[in-house]
Amino acid sequence: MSPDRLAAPPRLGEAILRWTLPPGVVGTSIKGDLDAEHRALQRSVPGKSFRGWYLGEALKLGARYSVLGLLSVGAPFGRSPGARAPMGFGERFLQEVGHGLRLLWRSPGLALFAVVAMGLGIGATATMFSVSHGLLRDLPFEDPDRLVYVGWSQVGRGDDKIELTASELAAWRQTQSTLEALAAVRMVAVDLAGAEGPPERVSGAQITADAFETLRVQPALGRGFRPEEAAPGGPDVVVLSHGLWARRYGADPEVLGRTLRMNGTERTVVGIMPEGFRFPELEDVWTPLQVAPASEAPVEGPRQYRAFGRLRDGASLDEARTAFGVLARRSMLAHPEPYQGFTSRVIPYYEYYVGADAVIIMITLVVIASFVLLIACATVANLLLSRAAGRSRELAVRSALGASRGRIMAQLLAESLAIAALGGILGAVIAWSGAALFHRTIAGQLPFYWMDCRIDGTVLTFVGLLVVAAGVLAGIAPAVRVSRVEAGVALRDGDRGSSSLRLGRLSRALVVAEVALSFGLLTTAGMMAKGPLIYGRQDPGFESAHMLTGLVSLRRDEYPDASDWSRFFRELLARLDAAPGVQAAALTTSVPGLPANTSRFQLRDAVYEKEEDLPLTRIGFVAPQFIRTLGAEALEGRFFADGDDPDGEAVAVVNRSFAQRFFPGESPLGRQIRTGGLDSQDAWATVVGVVPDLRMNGPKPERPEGILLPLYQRPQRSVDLLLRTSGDPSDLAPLVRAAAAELDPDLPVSQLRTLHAAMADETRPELMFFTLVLICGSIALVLAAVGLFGVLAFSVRRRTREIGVRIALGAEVRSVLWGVLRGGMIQVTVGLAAGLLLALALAPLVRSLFAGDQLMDWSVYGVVTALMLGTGFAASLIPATRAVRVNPVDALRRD
Amino acid sequence: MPSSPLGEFEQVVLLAILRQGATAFGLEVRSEIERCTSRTVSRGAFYTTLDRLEKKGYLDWEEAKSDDPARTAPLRRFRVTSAGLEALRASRRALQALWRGLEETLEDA
Repeated sequence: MSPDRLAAPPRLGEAILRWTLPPGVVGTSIKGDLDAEHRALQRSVPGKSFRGWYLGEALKLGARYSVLGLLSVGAPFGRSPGARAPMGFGERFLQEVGHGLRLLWRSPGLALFAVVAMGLGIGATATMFSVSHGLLRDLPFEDPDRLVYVGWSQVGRGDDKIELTASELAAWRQTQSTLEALAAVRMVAVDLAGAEGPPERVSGAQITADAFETLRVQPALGRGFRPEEAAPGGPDVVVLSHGLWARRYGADPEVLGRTLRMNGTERTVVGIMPEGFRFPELEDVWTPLQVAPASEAPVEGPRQYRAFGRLRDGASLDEARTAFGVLARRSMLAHPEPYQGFTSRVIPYYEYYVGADAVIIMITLVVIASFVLLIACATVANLLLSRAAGRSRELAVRSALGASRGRIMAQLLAESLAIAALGGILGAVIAWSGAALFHRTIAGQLPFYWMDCRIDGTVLTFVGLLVVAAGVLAGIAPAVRVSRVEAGVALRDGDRGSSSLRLGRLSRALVVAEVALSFGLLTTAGMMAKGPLIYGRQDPGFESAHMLTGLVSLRRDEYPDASDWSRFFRELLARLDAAPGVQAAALTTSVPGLPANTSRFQLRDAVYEKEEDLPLTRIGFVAPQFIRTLGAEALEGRFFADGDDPDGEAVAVVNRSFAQRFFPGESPLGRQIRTGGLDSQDAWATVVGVVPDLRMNGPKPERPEGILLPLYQRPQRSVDLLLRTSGDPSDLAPLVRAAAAELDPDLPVSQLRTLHAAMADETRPELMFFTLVLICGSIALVLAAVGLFGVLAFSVRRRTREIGVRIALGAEVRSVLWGVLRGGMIQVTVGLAAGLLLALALAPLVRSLFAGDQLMDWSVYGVVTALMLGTGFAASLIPATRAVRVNPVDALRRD
Repeated sequence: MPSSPLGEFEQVVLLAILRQGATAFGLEVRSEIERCTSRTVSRGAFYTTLDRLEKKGYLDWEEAKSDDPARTAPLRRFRVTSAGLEALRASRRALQALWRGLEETLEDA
């Protein structure tokens, strides 16, 4: 056989050798020897590659050399007995680790359980950490700390994100000096006309020409905006996101210079942004923001301009605050009226997005998960303790033979560190899949494009720290306890070990802590579940299956008048109604199951002093077919009819909760209400009917009151379609698009999805958080049960003799059984009491973060208490029955 | 007198190097040991023992090229130093002193 037909050594094997062997000729000659032998082997058995053999040899060599490198001592672990240098600390420790690992290996059941427990704890904590880390990570810009947001806050409104008007932006851009430039962005919906694909609605932003430079982001292709493009009347240009470019234009570089029609305007593509850039939130299209001179802009225009900038070199945040404070006062002096209670606000840009709430939620989740880790540590500590008790004689002998206390402690610590390290590997795998799952579940809903929940170096470092902390935490109590034992006592104590270790109390305390922590976790999960999840899954009171929804928004420039809107939507509805597979079709601005807009309103016969006294309610504009399409009907009075148009009397329909809250004990029919503020120009509408609640408040149970108004009487530009279908609703999506395109080929239908999907999307983040906490709670419960089981089983084993004597002396089975059970149930009960205190302490936080007031519910505590008592009972039962089965003769013969 | 006595495996390695003479390359020395002692030698133990003996000054090596064209990697040709020879002699003396008078008991049957 010719040498060139021999298989090359496996790459992995070569890599291992490269990493581990000494550098230079020594290393290469060792590898050369191995290669030569590899070739010789292949020649001796033709047709076999011996890759596995090579890999094994490489691993053995690598292991030896890396241990050598680690210890950096001359003497290897060779069989050579002579010339051993005195052992260094590292080597001694490694020896103890080896001993610890061998002991673990000898009781694989215990080792496996301890590793899984640690893995779950570390995995849960690391998952939460990586999720938090992903959501709270830095902005993806150069020097993100230097970016600031500039806006207003208003005293007493709790609204700290008031943005600038066009005139403020124009004036401040000219006069400010602490920022390199005051850039601004304004978000707009962009309808792409149907040329390269179907018409499509995407999120876009108007952005000042200096914004990309402020962020220090350059387009990947083409260029950004030029100043003249941002001047009023400048050329119509556009920059696209990488994602949109790839998706819609096939990543064709020729798209540069082409014109696209969007929102009815032809715009020339001048640039493509780098992959991933979707500033400020999830935008796909950028057009120049044209800032008119300050003198021409109205003072009271809409506050739509989100201003930001980069601190000039040498300027501090405080200086910028002071400077903008001066500018703000100047604006306020010129026009005091619109600035009631306003103060200027300059904050790090990052704070604008990630509020204190998000940080608290994330910290809560990490804390919750660390509970699980603590429980896991307690469980492992208990296991090690009970094992140490079984081994107390061996340890006492070693100590009598001169092993130092440090060495014995080192051995126990090494054991728990080894468990933690293996658990860390498992935990990293759990965290990796957990974070990936989380990312997949909410990726599309992440509010900001840079958030990314995946494992990276920081998370892995965190896992490493957890491993060390958990290993020490789980090992320190047993180690200290065992090392203090007097050899003589332990030797007399024999296998029972417990009295010399005095570990009964410590073990029981650990179980109590486990029960308390898992109670806290499970009640928290329960409270979260009580909210949107359970409510969201109750019968909503209307037909929600076989429903399809989609949003159509007419552009103002092409549909200027309200009559145009009505005409368009009536025509669209007629086409949809006639389409095959559609049982009923309706128009609405409030999709049931999703939160509708809120508005202030007035009752005709009530007196309101100021704007803030006006009550709030959900509000929806619906076509007459709405109620029938939902398979519901008016509870009282009538629903809207075709005659409820601009020529008819102004009418309204209220839902049941509205009627009960604002007209308690009387009929709302004939009463008059008006939407809007005190200066509302709307007509007073007479209530003509009452309908079921229809979930106008979305998935959360709070504030279900709502008013419905006739869409044809008060036409709207943006309207949702609601179709009841005979088959799978998603099958009708193309048909809906086609129907809209027949009327207007450039008009996109967005958010086309089934009603079930829409409702599920509403509760997805809650569901995710609930699931995470529930998983943590369940793990905690299992660990607590196992901990309890372990303690009781151990105590039965150690008292075998005593129990045997009692049985021999005629003790009743029942009293023996009860003795063990009682011990277990006392621990559970004490744990529950402590857990209740913990849960009560957590409750306000959970309530404020995840839902409203209705969550405080004793039934959750009841269910969790019952669950834990049951689990505790089951965990105690097996050791108890084992105690009953003790054979007195055998028991007395032992030892 | 050398500072530390030789271990058994160290003696074996040094003897095998002496037996191989001009072809005392790693692979050849190891095969020689396996042939003479009829036991397998762990690769790691072998190389680390070589390193240790070098550190003690009992052997040194020079870089060499193999006549086999397939072996392109550099080889180390090992050589026992005078200190190494002295250590071997000391071991031999000690062993011979111990063997003396036990020939009858320990002679191969």
